[in-house]
Amino acid sequence: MSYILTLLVLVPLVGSVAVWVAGITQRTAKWIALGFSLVETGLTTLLLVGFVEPAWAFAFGAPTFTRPPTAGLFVPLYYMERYTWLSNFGITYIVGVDGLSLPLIWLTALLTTLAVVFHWDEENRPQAFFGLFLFLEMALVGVFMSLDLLLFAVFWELVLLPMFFLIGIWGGPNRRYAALKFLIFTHVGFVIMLLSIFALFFNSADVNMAVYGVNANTLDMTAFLDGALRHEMGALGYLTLGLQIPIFAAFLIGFLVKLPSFPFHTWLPDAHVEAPTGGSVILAGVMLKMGGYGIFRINFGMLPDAARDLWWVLAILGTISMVYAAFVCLAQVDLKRLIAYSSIGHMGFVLLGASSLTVIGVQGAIFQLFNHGIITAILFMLAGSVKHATGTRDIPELQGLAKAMPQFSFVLAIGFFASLGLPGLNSFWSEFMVFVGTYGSPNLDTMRRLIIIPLISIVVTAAYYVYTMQRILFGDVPEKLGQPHDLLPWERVSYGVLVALVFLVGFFPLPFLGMINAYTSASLPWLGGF
Amino acid sequence: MIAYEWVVWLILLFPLAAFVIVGLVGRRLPEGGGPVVVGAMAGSFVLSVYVFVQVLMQGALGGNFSQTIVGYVWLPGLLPEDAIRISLLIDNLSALMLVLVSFLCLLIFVYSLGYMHEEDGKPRYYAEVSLFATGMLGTVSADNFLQLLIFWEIMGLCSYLLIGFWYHKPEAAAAAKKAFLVTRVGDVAFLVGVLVIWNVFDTLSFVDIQRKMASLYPNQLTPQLLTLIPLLLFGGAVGKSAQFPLHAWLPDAMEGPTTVSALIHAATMVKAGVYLTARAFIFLVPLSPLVTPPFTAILAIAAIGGFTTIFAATMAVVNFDIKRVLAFSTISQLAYMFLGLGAGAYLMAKDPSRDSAGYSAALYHLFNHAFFKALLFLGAGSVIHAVHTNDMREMGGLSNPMPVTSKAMLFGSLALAGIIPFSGFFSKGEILSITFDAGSEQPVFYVLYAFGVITAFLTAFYVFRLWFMTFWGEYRGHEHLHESPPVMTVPLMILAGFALVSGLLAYPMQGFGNLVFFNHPAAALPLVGAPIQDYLLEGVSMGVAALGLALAWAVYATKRIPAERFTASRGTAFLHRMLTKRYWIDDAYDAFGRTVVYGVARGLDWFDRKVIDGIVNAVGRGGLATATGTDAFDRRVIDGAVNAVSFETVRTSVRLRQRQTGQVQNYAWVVVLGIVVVVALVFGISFIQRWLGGR
Repeated sequence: MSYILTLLVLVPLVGSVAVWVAGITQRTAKWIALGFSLVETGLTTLLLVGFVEPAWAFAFGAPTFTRPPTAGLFVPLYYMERYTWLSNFGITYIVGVDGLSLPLIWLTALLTTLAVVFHWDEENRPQAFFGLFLFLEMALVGVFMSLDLLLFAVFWELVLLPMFFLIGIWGGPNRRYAALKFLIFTHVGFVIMLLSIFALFFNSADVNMAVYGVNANTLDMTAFLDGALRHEMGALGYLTLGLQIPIFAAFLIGFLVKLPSFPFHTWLPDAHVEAPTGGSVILAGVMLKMGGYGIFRINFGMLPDAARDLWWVLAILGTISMVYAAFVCLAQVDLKRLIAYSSIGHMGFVLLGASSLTVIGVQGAIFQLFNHGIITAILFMLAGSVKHATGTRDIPELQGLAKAMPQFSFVLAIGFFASLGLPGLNSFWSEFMVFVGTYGSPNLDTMRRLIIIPLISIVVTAAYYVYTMQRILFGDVPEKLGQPHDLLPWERVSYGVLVALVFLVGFFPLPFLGMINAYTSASLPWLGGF
Repeated sequence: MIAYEWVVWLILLFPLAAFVIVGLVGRRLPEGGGPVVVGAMAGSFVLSVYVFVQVLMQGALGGNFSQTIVGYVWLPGLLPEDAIRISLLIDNLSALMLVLVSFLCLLIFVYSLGYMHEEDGKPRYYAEVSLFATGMLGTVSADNFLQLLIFWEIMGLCSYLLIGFWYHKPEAAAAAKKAFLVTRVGDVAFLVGVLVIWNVFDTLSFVDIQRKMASLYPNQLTPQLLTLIPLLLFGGAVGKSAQFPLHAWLPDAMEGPTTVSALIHAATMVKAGVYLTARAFIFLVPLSPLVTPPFTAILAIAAIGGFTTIFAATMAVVNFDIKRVLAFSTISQLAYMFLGLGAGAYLMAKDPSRDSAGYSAALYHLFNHAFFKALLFLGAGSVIHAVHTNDMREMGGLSNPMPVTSKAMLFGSLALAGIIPFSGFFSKGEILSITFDAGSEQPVFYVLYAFGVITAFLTAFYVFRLWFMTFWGEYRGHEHLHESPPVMTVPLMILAGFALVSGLLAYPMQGFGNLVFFNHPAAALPLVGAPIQDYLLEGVSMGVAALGLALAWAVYATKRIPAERFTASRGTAFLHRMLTKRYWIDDAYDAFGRTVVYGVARGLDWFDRKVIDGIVNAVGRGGLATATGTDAFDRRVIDGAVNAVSFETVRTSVRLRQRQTGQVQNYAWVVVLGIVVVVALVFGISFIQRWLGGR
């Protein structure tokens, strides 16, 4: 089944068309959407299982990779598909997955399914709503598997559209402002990123020659990935440092906007506060990961010299994001806004781990992408549930929910403790690895004691979560809250899956770390130490 | 070696299984699953005794036993030396701790059957306490620092949940938050310690660290790092064991059920800090002539301990809340243990051939204190069960209606005060005499010794103040009094027995130091064959305790000295106020949190909204124009590829939204369909291209 990856793009695309065509009633729309998203989840799960343990790869065969025609090292990308497409312009359709992208693709499929389930009672234009979710899924999956820069850019932009409409149509009262801000902000980031793509294109002939023996400009990412890898292993003639630095910087700006990192983050709280719950789940759970994915795939994979030169930018921005966001969270009144800011802080871990340029730090950062996706999905769903049940998300108006909504409170406590990095739950491992990597980073050398600055955020993070729990879970139920209903059946399904993952990944991180390790050891062997 | 070593895993798995069962179906079980939890704990206790006996039978007393039981290696191959793993270390210390912890958990769970009988939320209670038991048993049997940290945090979570058990009470909510946050500060230090250890040693296991110590010194393991590591670990201990300056959470933690106070905040969890510091002995006393011991770190530990003894004891003297008096007392007694560890480490570091008397004495006190403080708390619980208040001013004269409770608490008080032959006498006396010994090496220890002796006096005073105010004189409240049911009094009687004999147990062992020791056993028996100086020192601590008892008798039993006299003058009134206000430290922390931390938070929030977002919005005012411009630029450069098409779509949609505000929903599906058409178009072009190319 060599077309499995294209199938992963087509299933949600066909699904979204099917919903638009056939999903006339709410019932049919949601069932069609659920069916297609389940198929996608099933396919990605099979792919994931086969990747973790080749012995179980019964569906698509064991992972295969395509070796470039010239001899030498190369970055293994599995189940690769390559079709020439607009060859006059140097554009080809190339897709492939590896240990970096596969967990994120699986996460995309899973969270889309759960978002559809969570919105089981969506009555406002269900046809367009569920269709857009599948379309969004298609674009996200496309981003994570494209290996051609133009294809990557196309999918990258396609992601914006459905999200723009999800916020703009199904959003809260201030949705117009939020949707436009989201669109323009990330679009500007994208345009800056495009400059880098052009720069790469016009300097690609030598790289292409070295890897594929073709003396022509190309946008094929594998040429750059393999070229950079060989360059790291001593081969001459890759992009010079002076060229890498501006390209790195422009890509980085695009990715920092998406991640988002301080100071490019202000679109995120607004977008989240206005977005419908499912939109927030995908936005924070998967879309932010596009930024992290880009940093590792492009900035690290293709521009390693610049990464070694500019690591301090990542370190400083990551640290600021962590501490700054944690403090800002403490001052939030709207539960959803709080969770949005907490995402910024947790993405700071990704930058910090990346900046360490150590194996364990980078692995922790990649693992953090995955873990944050699971946890933040729970948290945004909780914000949706409490709004649904009580009509408000304002922390001062909520009280005594432990009594009024025990199931909700149980999930909230798990989500909060997982998010603050309680040992044994999933994000502890990624955060711990980030700190181990950062502390052991050869970059820091004599400045190791600076590790204490990002560690401040651990205490403040605990503070805002515990303070929030004190205010909304404890105490007596106020009169005006009435009798809020507890979790709805379909909500319980969504939470059940995610909470199970929090524990499963927390207790058995090995399969996921194994995948990530396969990626770092093959693609980034130049990372330092442990 | 232990026969059937898998048994050790079961010690942890029994309470874990009970947690899962009660958590899932506790509602349908009798007593909310209490009997299940008790049964699981009984199993753990029996197996712990088995392990303990196996350890003892491996050789003569004073023999060193150590066995690592490797379980699940977390990240094999990814990390050097399989650094992250779930493995158990059974040595003299952990075997003793397993027995101690499982026994106390068992007794307190049985007591809970009576104490919690009328509460709602019993399944929650029993699930959480059995998870706690797993955490504590895991903490004391971990073979490496990371695993210890994991179980340590599980305990912290359970502590948080159980302090907030009565979640509708605002005080409980605030206390739970405070406990979690204050200990979290210490945990960060612990975490940094783990990072440093990993970075230096490439492993986290106690055994491997000790093995590698000499070879890494002084290059990778610089003297500064050797000082830093134990101090960071001790930082975690300060938080967990509520030592100054992170003591503030423990008195407030008394908002939880009394059984929780007895188990978590007296007998077990708070001892984990002492246990961690005992494990940090591998850094404090490197046992290699090549390595200079970190004397600064040792002194810091001893000084924090010595200061906290007196600091906490003074606050216990003025409190009227029966549980808070005991909480301050716990802080003070834990501080004794740190003092003993510090003094013992100092002596051993100076002369490695010395026995580990301080280490053994501190753990001896840990052992004894666990029994008598659990007893005092459970006794207080029994009293609170009857009088429905924590305020000792509304008690009094309870010895008639509650004979068992009052006698059991008398035993506990005598043990805490350190009256011979009750258990506290032996261990506290040993700690003090070792501190005095250390004074000959480093005069600071004489000061700490003085603190310790004054604290011994205060301890006897406040605990008998408590006992006389509760059980002596006339009843001052309005409740119908009754003795507690046997399910509560039997554990009290058992613990009272231990308060009497747990100190004496050292004799059949030929000194507690034969049971737990570091490197060299400390074989000296209490009061047997000791030099004359030791008898004098024991006499001093016993004497001041008797004085404290006598003063309490005069003030609170016979009332010959009126209590008001102590607050008569302005100076003493100020002192009294300072003590009731807990030296204003809690207020200062609250103010710091409210003004500084929350102030920074508010300030940054304002900065985020006004400054950063202000810039964004200012830039955004020209937003659409900019977007249009960049679009045009893109198209010129990229030359009509798919991208420009998608931009066009974006731009069109933006324009549509502007023109058709309010109506844009109707266009959503049109736009998206448009994209599909565009994609189809692009595919079509590519086919045409290929076709042309083929020609």
